[in-house]
Amino acid sequence: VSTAASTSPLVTSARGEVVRHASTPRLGRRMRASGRYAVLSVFVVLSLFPLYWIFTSSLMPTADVFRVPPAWTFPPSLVSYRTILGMVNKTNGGTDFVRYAVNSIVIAVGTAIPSLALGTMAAYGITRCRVRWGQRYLSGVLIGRLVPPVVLLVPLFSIWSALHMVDSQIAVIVTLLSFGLPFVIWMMSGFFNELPRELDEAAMVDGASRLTCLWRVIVPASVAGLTVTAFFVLLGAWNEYLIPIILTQNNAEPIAVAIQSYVSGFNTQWGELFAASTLAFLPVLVAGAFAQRYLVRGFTSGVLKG
Amino acid sequence: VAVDDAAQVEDPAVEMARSGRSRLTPRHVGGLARREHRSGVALATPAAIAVAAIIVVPLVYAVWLSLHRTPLTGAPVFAGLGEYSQVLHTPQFWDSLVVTAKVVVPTIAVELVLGTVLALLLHNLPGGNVIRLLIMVPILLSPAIIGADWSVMLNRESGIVDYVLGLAHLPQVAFISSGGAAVPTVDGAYAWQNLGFTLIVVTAGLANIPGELTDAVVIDGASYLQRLRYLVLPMLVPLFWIVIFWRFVTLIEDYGLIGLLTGGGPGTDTQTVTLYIYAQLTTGVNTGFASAAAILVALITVVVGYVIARFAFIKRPT
Repeated sequence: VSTAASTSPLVTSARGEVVRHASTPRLGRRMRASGRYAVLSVFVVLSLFPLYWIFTSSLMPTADVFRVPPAWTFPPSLVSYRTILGMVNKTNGGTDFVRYAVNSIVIAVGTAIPSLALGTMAAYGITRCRVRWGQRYLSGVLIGRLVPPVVLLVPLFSIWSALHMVDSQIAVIVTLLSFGLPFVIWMMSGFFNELPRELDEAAMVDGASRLTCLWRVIVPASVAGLTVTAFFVLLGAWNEYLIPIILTQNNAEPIAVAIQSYVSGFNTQWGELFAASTLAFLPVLVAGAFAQRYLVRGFTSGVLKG
Repeated sequence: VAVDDAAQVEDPAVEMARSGRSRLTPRHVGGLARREHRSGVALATPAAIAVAAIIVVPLVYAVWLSLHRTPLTGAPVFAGLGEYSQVLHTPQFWDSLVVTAKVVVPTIAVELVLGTVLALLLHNLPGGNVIRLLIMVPILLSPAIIGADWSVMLNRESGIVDYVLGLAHLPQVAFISSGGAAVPTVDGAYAWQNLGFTLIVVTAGLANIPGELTDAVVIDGASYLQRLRYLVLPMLVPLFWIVIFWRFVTLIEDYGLIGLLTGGGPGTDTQTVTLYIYAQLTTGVNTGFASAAAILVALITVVVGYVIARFAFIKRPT
């Protein structure tokens, strides 16, 4: 390989594939790479510094968050965490953060499971079963997703009120299916289009039903796609704000809604806000770390290849 | 599972009939296709019913509301398109549309340009995967919480951002409390959080460009910029449309980030249509008016969104 580099601008492997372009001198290439790292590290700092600052502020009492110049070193204090977790009594600002967190989990998981189940079935049905109006089905779902949720707030509130289900997790979950289902249907039909048709045809010839075929053959073959899709449905429901702000009052309130109680009103609790932010971000970051190897791979196939 | 000769089989029933392994006649084959169609319908129906129940039913109700005037006391009165004409004669409604455009268009433009540049810089770079993940972290976080946190960090008196600007001897800015700066600040906050989306989509696009193509133009002596201009960017265009589509939908409907960052202020400088409708719903007395505004916004969103989607998903096979 090295001898080829000195004579030809292209480095080729044994199989004759071009491995790299060798016309650029190595030093120049290395300098260019360090330029790339320099630009990229600016963006990494810009992306992460605010989060670092949120985290460090969560370890300060509220009074110190306000201090100018900011305190760069300080004895870490968990007082904000103790407050939001309800370890101090309500008159001192204690909140039921654990209950909000449970609500967020229930809403996220409760939205994701039916979205994935029904959405995967639908995507499989319209991509694999020669459904005549499959394209129209996809367009219809897309148009449904395009309706801004703010348009539906009053009717949704009236309907759930009539059912006496306002401030219940069920109401939020069912409503959030309107985001989850279209997303899953579109993502999964992209992934299913990638799979060779012989896969299900072989199973069908063996006498499997469509549902068995989906569950036994297609789902195991689309783990990467399902992981990406599930991750984003969970994420969307965990982070959702507008729907729960309308449909919950106190019992079913998730973290994203409860967070505003720290910033509204006369006594803004910065320390508590940042502690609650940190606790709300943590599970997402952990889940993201586990899902990350699927994320880019999942995106490289499926809907984007369309 | 895939058998070699199965690769040429288009329809197992047809193939079976042809090979004589089964005694299916074309009529039976048609029946099989019909049965296929029917099982497809059965699979797709539950999701369709759910979407219809959750979106279409409230939407019809919203249309009904928009056609009625709601007096302070008593039952709604049919008003025809009266509320619509009232909305169209309200300057604040038009202002909120302009604000929405000032948020949506520059934000998407910045995200597209920066996200694409970052994806190109990261392409085939050692350690690029880690850097990419770090830049993508903000996209995972709740927009509402991000809005609340940025409102603290961008505070003119006590925020960290103006403090850092002061340290660097740069002019300090009243980011969210001055009229001129508020809209660009909102755009910046959106772009800060969502840069990773363009990045991941363009990264996927770059990975899908066949290596032989790049090699071919390299052999033809194309420079990096020529490669970019004539090969890479044209191949990324469909993905740009996907980014534009998804960001258009999510920016229009966002209430969390902008609501907790500026709440539409100062004054109504950052009041997007979503914030305007929400304010009408919660502080206004006439749900008919708010619903008419909402239906108009829904129409605009669906039409523009659908046009963008035609570009984004034009090749989608089913």
